[in-house]
Amino acid sequence: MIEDDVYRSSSQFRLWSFTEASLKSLRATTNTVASDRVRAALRRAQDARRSANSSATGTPAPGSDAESKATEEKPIDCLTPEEEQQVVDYYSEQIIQLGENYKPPLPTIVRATAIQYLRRFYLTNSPMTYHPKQIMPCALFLATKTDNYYLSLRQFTEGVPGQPAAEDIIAPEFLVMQSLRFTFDVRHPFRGLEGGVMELRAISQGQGQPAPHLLAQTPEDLRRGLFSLSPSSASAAAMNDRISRAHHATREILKTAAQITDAYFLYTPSQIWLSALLLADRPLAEFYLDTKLGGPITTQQEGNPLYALRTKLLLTLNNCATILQAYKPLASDDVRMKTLKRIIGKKLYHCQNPEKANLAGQKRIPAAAAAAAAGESGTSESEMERLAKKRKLEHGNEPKDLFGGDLVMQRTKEKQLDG
Amino acid sequence: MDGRDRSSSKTLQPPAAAYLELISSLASPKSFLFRHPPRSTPPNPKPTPPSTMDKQQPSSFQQLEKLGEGTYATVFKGRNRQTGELVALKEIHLDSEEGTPSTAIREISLMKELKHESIVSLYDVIHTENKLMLVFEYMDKDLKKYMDTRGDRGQLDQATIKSFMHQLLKGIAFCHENRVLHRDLKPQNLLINKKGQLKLGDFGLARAFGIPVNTFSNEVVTLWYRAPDVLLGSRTYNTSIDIWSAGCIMAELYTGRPLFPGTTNEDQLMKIFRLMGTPSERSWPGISQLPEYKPNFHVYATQDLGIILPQIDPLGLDLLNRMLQLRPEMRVSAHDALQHPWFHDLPQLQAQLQQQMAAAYGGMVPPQQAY
Repeated sequence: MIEDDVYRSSSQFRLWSFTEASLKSLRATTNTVASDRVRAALRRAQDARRSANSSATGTPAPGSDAESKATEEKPIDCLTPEEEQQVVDYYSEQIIQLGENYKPPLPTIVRATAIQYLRRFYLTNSPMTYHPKQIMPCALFLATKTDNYYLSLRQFTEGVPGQPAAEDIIAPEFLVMQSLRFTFDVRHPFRGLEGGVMELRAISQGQGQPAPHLLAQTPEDLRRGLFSLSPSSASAAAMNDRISRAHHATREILKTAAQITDAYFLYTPSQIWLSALLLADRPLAEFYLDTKLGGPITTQQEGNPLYALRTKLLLTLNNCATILQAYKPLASDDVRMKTLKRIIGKKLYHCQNPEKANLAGQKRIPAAAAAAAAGESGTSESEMERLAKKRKLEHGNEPKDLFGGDLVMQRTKEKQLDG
Repeated sequence: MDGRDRSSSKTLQPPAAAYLELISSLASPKSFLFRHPPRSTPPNPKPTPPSTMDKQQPSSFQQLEKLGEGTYATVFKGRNRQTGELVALKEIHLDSEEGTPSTAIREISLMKELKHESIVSLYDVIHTENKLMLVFEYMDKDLKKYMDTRGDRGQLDQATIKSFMHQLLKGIAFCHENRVLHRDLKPQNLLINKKGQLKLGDFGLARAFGIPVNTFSNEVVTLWYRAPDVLLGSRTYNTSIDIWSAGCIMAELYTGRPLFPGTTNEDQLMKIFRLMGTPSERSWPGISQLPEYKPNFHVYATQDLGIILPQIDPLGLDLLNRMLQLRPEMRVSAHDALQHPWFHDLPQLQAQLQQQMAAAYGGMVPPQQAY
């Protein structure tokens, strides 16, 4: 098995890789379905209120009836797919911030995994159905388990602002696991970058290995090639610095832009880190590629199959680099933050599906609920009744506001910046 | 660690790979949202969790007898009510202070990536009120029980041994290609079905490995199958620990008894050294730096493994010696072991083996699909 075959057999490739068009259409479908449901649920809630009112007052006054008619006819303003996307991006950024709340801070890889969980979750679920402030901490806690970074739920909960109940953190755990289709293995670009940097360092020390199909290259050829890169740097120390700077800059891109864009859905881990390296130090990245592709290859060599490969690869990498480069942190952008506050604080508040609000109450019953929905006789009436009672009991536990509408995290962050 | 469960279990599976593939795609259909254009979705498409909408409620399985119990799970035999297919149901208790146990999550995670004929298949994950149920391919027996019931005082014949070792190494090689160490290979975790297939099960302790391997805990592999470098306290172990376990298992297939049945860490090392010779800084550079190394280890000379394994042929002995190298970097890789000349006559032996399987199960072999 070659490395590509290994990647193609991964769940990331099989289930979580898309074209731009398929990604867009999936999100549009999710948005449409969720909007329809929200409207239906809000209508049901309204009907329920009205019938409660009318049974309380006997015959409803004609005026109040007209009033409720009016509210009913006012269309419910649901989030657009683009707005949903912004909300998810915002909470993805919050995962990076939340990771800083722990001592020591959560490893980059745990945060990156959690962000990808969140983004995968919201491909088939809408923030209108499940508010990200509830899903986000759960995704992060799940990532500590899958990435072998052990934290007890109690320790984890202490780091989450707003003192949520531990119970509320794990309430949506199964829902999240299910939406992730039980695939928890996320292939990140970080390890590939480390390998590439090790290779570059070896080359700079005259210990480079030629690619298997380019055995004519000597370590000295490779070293000379590296040192002739513009801007040319004569000394080994300067080259060492250059590689370190590129390494650091690339890692920063991978920790932020690669996480909070659609890069993982559209590109492979190697494409992502190579694109990030192109942004960090283009001549260095192109040199690295040429050590693999036998370049630099010019148009004169058009018959050379490596030329076609290189052209195609660079096109892909440049496309990916464009996505990465376009990323600007939301939190540092006042205008976008203002819009976002409006989306989350007002719009999302009004179009939140009321039937999905209490996750803690629902968490124990997905199978039973699904069975009931499917009209199966799998769950007995008494079982349903017992579950309903249980839900009622749990209903007393008002879900704590994690860091939703009022952007607590944002304030925390601003405070940190001030301090 | 010994009290841990053996994940799934038993089989009786007619289905060829194609059938298995069909079942697993039914069990977790990848198709629904991702393959079809969204327009083709049914009138009320739930874009939410795929598995709730498709089926597989716990009630789709009839729970049969208990097959085993472990620290975080109980395994039952089960029957799919629709298809009649037997499955192993691994019930995970969500007691839970912590939500779903991380061992279970890790096992699910790995099983979703490792799809191979020599690794037991995970068909589905089902959630009930307070437990999680993993639906595994049904296997007939674990290797331990198989040896107890099938072998001559636990010893197996040459053809079976070779076939099992080949399948074991294929499964290990696949794990290693996918950067996964099993870390707990032992006869109880190797599952056998009536077609004579051997598959790796119980990935509760396995984990993905990456560049930094030195943070692993050193309390992992069951003592008897534990590699000497792990016993000496090395925390930078790698794929070679699974090869050591495979070597121990190979010897056990010949004798019916564990090769190194140590009682404590120290005793385990002494049992290994008594046979393989006590290593020194000369035979294993760096050994004296390992935490559990003692300069006053009793010095044993290396014995010929052939003496305790009179039934083994010279080629088999050569392969075994390559797997049971004390020094981890000297141990053969799973990939290379599969190329060993000992396996060259496997195809001829397979034919012979099929006859034996038929005999062992008293003629009830071919029309197994009966239910």
